[in-house]
Amino acid sequence: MSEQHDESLGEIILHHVTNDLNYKFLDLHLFGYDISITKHVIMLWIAAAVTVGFAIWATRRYRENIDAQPKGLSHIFELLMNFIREDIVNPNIGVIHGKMWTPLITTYFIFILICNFLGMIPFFNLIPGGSSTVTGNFNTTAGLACITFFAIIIAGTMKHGFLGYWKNMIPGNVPAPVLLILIPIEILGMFVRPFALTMRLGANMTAGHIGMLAIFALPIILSSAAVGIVSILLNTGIYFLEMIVSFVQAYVFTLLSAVFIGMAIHTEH
Amino acid sequence: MILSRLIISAVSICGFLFATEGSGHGDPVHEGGWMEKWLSFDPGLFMWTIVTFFIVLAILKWKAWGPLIEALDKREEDIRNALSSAEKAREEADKVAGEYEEMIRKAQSEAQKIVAESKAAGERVRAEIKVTAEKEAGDILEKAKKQIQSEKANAIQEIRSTVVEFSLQAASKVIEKNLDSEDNRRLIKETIDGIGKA
Repeated sequence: MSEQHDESLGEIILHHVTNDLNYKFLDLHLFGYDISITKHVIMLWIAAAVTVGFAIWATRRYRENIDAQPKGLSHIFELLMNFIREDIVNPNIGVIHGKMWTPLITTYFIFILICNFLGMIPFFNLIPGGSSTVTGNFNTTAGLACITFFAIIIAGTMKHGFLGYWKNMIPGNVPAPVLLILIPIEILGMFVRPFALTMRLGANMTAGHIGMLAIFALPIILSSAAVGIVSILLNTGIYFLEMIVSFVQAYVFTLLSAVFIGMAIHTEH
Repeated sequence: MILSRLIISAVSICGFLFATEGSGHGDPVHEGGWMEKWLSFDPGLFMWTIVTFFIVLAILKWKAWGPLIEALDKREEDIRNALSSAEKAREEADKVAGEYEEMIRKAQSEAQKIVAESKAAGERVRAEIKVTAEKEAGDILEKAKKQIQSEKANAIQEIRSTVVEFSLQAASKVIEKNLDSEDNRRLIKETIDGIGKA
């Protein structure tokens, strides 16, 4: 009996942190691949709409008048843009190459941040089909990391040329036997970086939700109202912690992407 | 834009490769433990993420980041210009203030010089006038003294001659004799002279 109880709770928790692939809003197929519109795709689009809406709204003054004074939301976006340029892009990519990559890096941050935060609003659980944290799904984070992967290659190729970029992977003045070990490591490193980005963001965004759901499951397992009050208080604290995690993970993904792109450009380091 | 297209095409190829690999594992969505379910590959979401992200990136770059970066850069430039022109204006003001100070100092010293010169000239004129006046006064006094002296001498002379005349007439009347001789005249004159000396 107890085991069945736990099993069903486990199922509920899992349901709340994963995307239900059987629940399709629109069944779509492309070249034999299932590209159906599931809840996470819907959440992705909501996040995209919110991101675009906020950014367009905040910068409307600058489109009309380049000398406009910041006001309200524009302040936050100016601050964000300044922070990303001064603290992420310029130190890692450099001022000259940074100009090209700033839009990508800024979009990473704001888009991931909004995805993270939308997943924390309980309202979106009213949409059927599983979890609402799209960045808690490894397919999403893999997609984002894939963009970083190709951005790294493109940044390196643009700076050093196609052959130059691949040659830079092999350090000079190294004896041949060492190269035998180094080249596979370098190639492995190329794939490990986006893989680490994928796992870090996905796992962090899922872990908090699992933790909160597990704490909420405690009073059900123990059938105790007192534990319920404790779990509510505890989860309130964790919720705030999750907000910090949302910020930190968006920042880390953004920062590491900038660092990797910078490494491809400034190979001497 | 070329870059974005490049990335999209590269990523979609990669996505399909991944998807082929994933489909080899059967259907992990419906079977298996929670870990497998959690890590199940979903080519749809993978592709949608990339597509959505690039659409968002394109719109934001075009509509939001472009104008925002431009505005920030322009403001930075404006502030830099304003600061340098303020610095220039300050230097200019300092220079002008220095010039004015110099001018005032020059004017003051000139004024002092003029005052001193005027004083000296006044002093000189005063001394000259004094000397002239004193000399003139002395002359006038001297002249007056001389005149008085000569007037006095004349008067005495006249009195003397008048007295001699009167004495002679009186004596002639008294003596009834013509005393118009040389001896008598001399005698009388001596007598009168004696009177004058006494």
